[in-house]
Amino acid sequence: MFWRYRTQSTQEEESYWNWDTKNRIYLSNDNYEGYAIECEQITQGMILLETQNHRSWVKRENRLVYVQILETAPWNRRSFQPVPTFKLVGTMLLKFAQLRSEELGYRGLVGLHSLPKSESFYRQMQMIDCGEDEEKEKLTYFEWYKTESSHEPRD
Amino acid sequence: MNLEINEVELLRLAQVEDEADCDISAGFDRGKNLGIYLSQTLSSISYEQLKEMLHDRVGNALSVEELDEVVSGIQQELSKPRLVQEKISIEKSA
Repeated sequence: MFWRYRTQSTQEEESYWNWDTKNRIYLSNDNYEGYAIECEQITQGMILLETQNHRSWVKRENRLVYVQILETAPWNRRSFQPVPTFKLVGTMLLKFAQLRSEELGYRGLVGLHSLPKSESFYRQMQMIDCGEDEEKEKLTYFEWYKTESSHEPRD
Repeated sequence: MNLEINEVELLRLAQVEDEADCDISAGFDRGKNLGIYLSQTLSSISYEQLKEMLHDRVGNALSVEELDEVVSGIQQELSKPRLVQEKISIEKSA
């Protein structure tokens, strides 16, 4: 509801966040895990991970954590305001996905599909551009195959 | 799990964000249906849980193979991505 209030005031075309949703994302089941970053008692961003059913496009034998959804609050987006209220929200959520991957024994491998508006960020983060995915409405698939610490997943 | 990042790395990551100069998001744009999608996804039950529930209720009527088939069908149907192209227009507050 808070996101909706804030976005309404500037007519941003976003209205889907509410406290019920925020509370639900702490639930998880076998495959899905949801996490959020809060600051000043407000959700600043959230990520929904799939941990069971995805494999690397680079090496099929390697499992990875797949980012089903990554969203930041509207006021943390550059399309909403030139200077985000909080920087690094999306970046930290992505780094968390990498950490979760390491914890699961997937050596930090992370995969995701990006909307065109976010592709430059994933390229800057040195993720591998695996090209458009016909099965995902031609969204571009990116993969963090090489971890930053090792520069090569350990076998 | 410990997500600790030192100041140098934080500054580097902030620079990466600045240079990318774009929104950071992943996955389909589900618009106003994101909340519904999340609640459906995260409150869903696992394959084994569903199979167990069905076995308790109709296990006498269906074979194990038939139960597997039913559960697989349900799971496949539920896992189809719900694409949302709809854009939201917010009414101006009075």
